[in-house]
Amino acid sequence: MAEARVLPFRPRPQRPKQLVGNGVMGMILFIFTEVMLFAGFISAFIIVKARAVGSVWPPPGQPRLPVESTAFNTAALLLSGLVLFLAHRAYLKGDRQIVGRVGVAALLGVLFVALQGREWAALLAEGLTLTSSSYGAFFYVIVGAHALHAMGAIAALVWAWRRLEAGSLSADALSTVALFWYFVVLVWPVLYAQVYLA
Amino acid sequence: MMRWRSVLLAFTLLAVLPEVVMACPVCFDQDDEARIAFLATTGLLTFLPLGLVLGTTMWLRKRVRDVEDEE
Repeated sequence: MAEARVLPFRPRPQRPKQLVGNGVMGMILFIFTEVMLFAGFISAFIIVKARAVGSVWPPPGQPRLPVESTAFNTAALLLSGLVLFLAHRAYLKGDRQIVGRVGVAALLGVLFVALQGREWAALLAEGLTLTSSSYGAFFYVIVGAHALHAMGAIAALVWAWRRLEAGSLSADALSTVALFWYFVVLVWPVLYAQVYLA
Repeated sequence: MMRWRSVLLAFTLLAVLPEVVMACPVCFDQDDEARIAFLATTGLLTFLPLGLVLGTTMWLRKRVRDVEDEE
């Protein structure tokens, strides 16, 4: 008969605590690539502008961009970012009643995109198109790329809002979505300053 | 014969001792504004990714310290 062997007790090794959520880390890496994309666009735009014939920019015969109405859109977007930031911070501190604030942030984002769309329609009617000049091409590529990001981030915000309502949104998921929206909000003033004001 | 030697010497010197090649727009654009734009954007595209990596590394180090303090 075999004797029973008593194995010494070895506690299971503890898994090291995760420093950053997978979603957040993935979003950070994604934002890096997007920052470089917009940096490339802006660099090309600055060089083309600097080498404009006779140093005249915008080129003659092209409509001027609506600086004032876009300033209002910019304010709506920044406000949206602020609302989401406050809601996100409250959520991380344990406040679970942020559904309304996330909804407001998403609605302000929708307002921004809708007003930008109206502005585009007016500019197209005035003759500024992708092929009318390098001015038009850069405007639609840079601002259009931002608008696409904004729409993607709004879709993510709406998804987060629905999950919040259902009470099934993790803090990591909210942080991931919020990071995307912060990127969309914070890159816009740089684009606005370069494309509209400079 | 002497003439051919001169031509050969001239070509050799041109090949061996090239002057500065004025092809790089960052260094040799005649327009000051364009040259500054080239320099500024070269700097931006060089240092921006380095800044992003450095910033993330510092943030992760801070997170490590925070987690260690919690434990």
